[in-house]
Amino acid sequence: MTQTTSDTSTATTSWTGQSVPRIEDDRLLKANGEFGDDTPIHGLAYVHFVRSPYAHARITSIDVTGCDEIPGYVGCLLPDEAATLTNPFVELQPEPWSNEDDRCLASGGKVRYAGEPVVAVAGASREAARDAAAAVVIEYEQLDVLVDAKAAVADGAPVLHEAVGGNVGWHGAWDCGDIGFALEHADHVIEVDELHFHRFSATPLENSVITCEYDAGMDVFKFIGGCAMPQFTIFMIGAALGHSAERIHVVSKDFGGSFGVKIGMYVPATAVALLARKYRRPMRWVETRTEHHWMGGHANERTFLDVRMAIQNDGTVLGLEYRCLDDIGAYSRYEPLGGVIWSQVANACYQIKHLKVDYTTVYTNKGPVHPVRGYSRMQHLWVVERMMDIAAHKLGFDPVEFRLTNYIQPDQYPYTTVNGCVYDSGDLPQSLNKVLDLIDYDKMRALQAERRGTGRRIGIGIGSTLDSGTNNFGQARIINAYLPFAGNTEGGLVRMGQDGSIYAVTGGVAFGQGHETTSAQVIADMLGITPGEVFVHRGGDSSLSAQTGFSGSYASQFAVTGIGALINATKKLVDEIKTVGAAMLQAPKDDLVLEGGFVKVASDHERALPFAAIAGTVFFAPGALPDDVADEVNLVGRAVYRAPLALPDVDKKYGNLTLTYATQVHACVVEIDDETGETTLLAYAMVDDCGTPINPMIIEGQVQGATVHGIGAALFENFGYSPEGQLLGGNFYDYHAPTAYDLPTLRYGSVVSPSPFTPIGAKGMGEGGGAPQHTVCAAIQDALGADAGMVLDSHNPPERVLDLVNGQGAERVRVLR
Amino acid sequence: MNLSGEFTAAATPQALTGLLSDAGRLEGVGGLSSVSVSGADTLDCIFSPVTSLGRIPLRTTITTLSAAPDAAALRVVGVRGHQAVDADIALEFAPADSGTTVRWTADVVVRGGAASVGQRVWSELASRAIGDVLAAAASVA
Amino acid sequence: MTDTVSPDMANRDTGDGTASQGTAGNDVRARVRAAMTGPDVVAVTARVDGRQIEGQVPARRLLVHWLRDSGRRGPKVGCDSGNCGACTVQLDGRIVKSCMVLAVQADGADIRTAADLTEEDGGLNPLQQSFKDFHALQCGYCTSGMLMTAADFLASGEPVEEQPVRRALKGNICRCTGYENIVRAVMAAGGAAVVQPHGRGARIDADGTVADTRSDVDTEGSH
Repeated sequence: MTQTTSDTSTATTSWTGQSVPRIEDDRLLKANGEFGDDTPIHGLAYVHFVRSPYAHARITSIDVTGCDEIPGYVGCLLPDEAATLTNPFVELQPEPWSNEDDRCLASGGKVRYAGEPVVAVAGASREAARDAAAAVVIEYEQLDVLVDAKAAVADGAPVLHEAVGGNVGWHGAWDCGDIGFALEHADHVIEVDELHFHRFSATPLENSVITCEYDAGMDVFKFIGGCAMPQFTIFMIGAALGHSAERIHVVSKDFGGSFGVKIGMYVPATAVALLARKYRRPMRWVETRTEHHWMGGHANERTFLDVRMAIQNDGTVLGLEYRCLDDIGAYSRYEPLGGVIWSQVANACYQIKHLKVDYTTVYTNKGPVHPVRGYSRMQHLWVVERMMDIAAHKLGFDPVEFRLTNYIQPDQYPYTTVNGCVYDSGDLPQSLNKVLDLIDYDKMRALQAERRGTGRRIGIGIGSTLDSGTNNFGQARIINAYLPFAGNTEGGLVRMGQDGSIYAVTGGVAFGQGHETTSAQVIADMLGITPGEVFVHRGGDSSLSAQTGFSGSYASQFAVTGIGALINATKKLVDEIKTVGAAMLQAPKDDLVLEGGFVKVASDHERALPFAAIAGTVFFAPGALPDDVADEVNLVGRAVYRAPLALPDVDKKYGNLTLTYATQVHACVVEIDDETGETTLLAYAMVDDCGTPINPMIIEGQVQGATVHGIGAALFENFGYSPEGQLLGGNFYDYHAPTAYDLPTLRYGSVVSPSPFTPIGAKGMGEGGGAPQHTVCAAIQDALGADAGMVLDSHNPPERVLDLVNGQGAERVRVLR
Repeated sequence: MNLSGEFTAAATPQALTGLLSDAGRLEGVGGLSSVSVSGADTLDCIFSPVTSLGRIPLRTTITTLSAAPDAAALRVVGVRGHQAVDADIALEFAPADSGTTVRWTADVVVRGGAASVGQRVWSELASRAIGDVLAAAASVA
Repeated sequence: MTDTVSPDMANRDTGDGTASQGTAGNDVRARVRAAMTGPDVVAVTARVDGRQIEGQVPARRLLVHWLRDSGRRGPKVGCDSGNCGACTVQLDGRIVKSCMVLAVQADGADIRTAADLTEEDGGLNPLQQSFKDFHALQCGYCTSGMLMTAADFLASGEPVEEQPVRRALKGNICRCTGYENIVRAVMAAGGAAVVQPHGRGARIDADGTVADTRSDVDTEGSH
């Protein structure tokens, strides 16, 4: 691609699509970023939570008198106070499940998971808060503990939320096509008793940091800190505190990762707000790593039961059925949305015609689930991928041909799934062929044959996945018909300052995705300037009129919604610039172009005005403009982007649930040591297709990051619990986030299938659909072979792989026909 | 987690079991303070075991489940902030040349932050803490 | 430049709430204090990024907090346990995780944080520029620590090859990038030929500057 920059007055080719280095990098590289604990606040006090050491217990007494002896102790907030001062957090599920009583501190006189906050203590310093927290004495009466979803729904199980009446938090059933007929008549049926998608999280490197200032004069709460979904936060906190949304101000600056989990920050933020108001002092809570692992949000742990897949002799997969228990931990928070969000990718990557799913959300005494990168879709995608892989092995189909046969084919797009979702575009066969080239597939098959019987076996795995983006919030009605949500919008604002400089802000809140750069690229193209000349607001600020109800960075949507809103906003600004230019240059508006920071007459480039002249006139000399122009123009473009999504049919659970479906196909080569069970990645490659790229470098970076999250989950990361309900992965010793040394070179390729449904053909991406879990599991299975242990868990540390080498799981998989 | 240990005390078994209702003597035991008898079989105290991070005071309740000339059983619950330690301790007393040989076994459950963060080290800490305090207590009997 | 810390913060902090203040009055507190050695507040003087800093520092305060309280945003806390490396700084020429060092241990030391890596004119130094060129950062939270470790590696004389770089970086956790681009950036800064970012032939900066950064190795796997 070429780029002419020798003369700034010469039109540039498009910035969109170029791997422009990121605008946000300089400040971060120079340690000039402003993360949660960097923001200086005068008179700041610190909050420390006293948390339950018990997974399930009744609180019998709370004694805070010892705090008074601690120098610097400011005060505390007790559960009874929280119960008086707040309403229960809004629940998304219908009755009776909505009777869950979730507050910022332990509710109903009980604790329901180890690490649950019971008392919030404030001190004048970090140390004072901690010392005072340590002086709080809480007595508990232990209750029976549930750490297993199956046990939670068994008769006689202890109940977490008495008002709900049991441990089921939601239930829904899908029956698309006729799986009964398919299973009855298919040439082959594979049945698996149980598969388990384990508990882990994205564990962003910056834990949550929440600062709250309460302005008593204006009755305004201002929150500063990482908030990925500001309007949802305002909605939840506003309802809990009974406080006007316009008097809740949410500001995010630099933000050390969310990957979805920080959507749940409204819970501790509410306690911080109550303390700030009670003691009339700004309060900051800096979450510790262990606290984050306890309650910062886990990914949905899901147990799949009675899984059956129907397959024909020619390799065509007809469909599958399963029931599942989704272990959401002790509180539902964003759940049970996971109960419908999985169905965005009901077909996975395949032309299946029949699907039956019985989905039950289950409470256990574990940390609560929050949306985590690949939220709820990766679990379903994983079970489909495992079943495809198991079927290929058990029935003797070539693993590559089997996938190619069943993939949705390029000429079938837009493709309507069994539940009415419309996959927009893609080229899975090309993606698979590319990724196999990247791992030297034929050579690796030869290596595999060569190594057979040496005790260091080789396996090759393929994982095909989807990253559905731009939610149709109407799908929330499938979990609760009374929820008022429908569609999706995002806001954007682009304006010209008094000197002609350009400022832009959206409702999206970036935490590493490079939104400042991609936004600037697109705006620069429309205004005929360079991205460096566009000042894009960092993070988010709810006071800036750029937000809609669904604003934020989650669910792979910015490239569609955020960029779409900025495009619409920039169009308005361009129109105003041209209106002013036409008046000042005495030329028809249609004959004007924007180039190099000038508005020019297309037919006569000598007739031009710099943006500074346009801005200067509008700001300082409106009287020099014709009245109709001066009345109309303010050099602010504010617009929304509305995703074209209709309400789904709630009864039939049918409709398009997201606008775009990026695809990724991964492949890897593993080596397994038969003696230790250790899995080594010899090669890893991923091919991404997210439509028209805005910045290919950033896309590649997102794919690499999501890949390593998935590899970590597949091999290392696990939020295991002891039978007493104690988290066993409370820090980075016991919860091993991959390091550079754990990984092979990542090989990347891309395919571009523009989306026909989005403003510039781009699709949301970045979540990655859990592709590495699919891929690594398939590779381990491939190393084991067809008549051996069966990979039925998404987490495969050496001890499990050793069991697999010794045949574990083989008895749970049956070829019925 | 099951822990165990053994030491020899100068006192007789009777003197040892008698300690469980003698707050005054226990107050003199290193690591114990603010000892008070709060029920027929219950003692409250601050137990401050030595750790590599210094002495960490735990609000502790000791309940005597049984006490006989040759054996005793205690339930110990210690809490501090979001840490909790529960221990069921069984003591066996056998006459020795110069007093009593005390054998103890403890079923210890650590909860909260210590369970997650300290799982690699706490069994050693707990073992030492229990052994030290029992031996110290026996020395004042 | 000095900073002072009020003596009322002078309690030992064991990192996770297991601090030494008593639950049962002054006797416990006094005894706990006695069980620990040294005074609660200590005068500390250190040179940080070329400037002298003095302070009355609680004995239990971690170096990372002292540096951050004195306005240094480079060292960051990501794990509290020495695993993640976000707090990495140079202490008397050696890199340390400043959450594993007490401030009092740094008395008299010469400390360098990531804020001191830039060129004298405030521009990016070659390693920082390489991180930018190769998109070796996303959220930027690990970046300061990564830069300190990478700079130490490049000064070590170890061969600038993929495995030594990966080994050198293994004490620094990044949750965004998957490390691939960090490894490439460090290798490129050390003069090795590496794969260019996807879609990059000539580098076009956001300000419109074009620089040809094509290396000997062509973009792998791009279409």
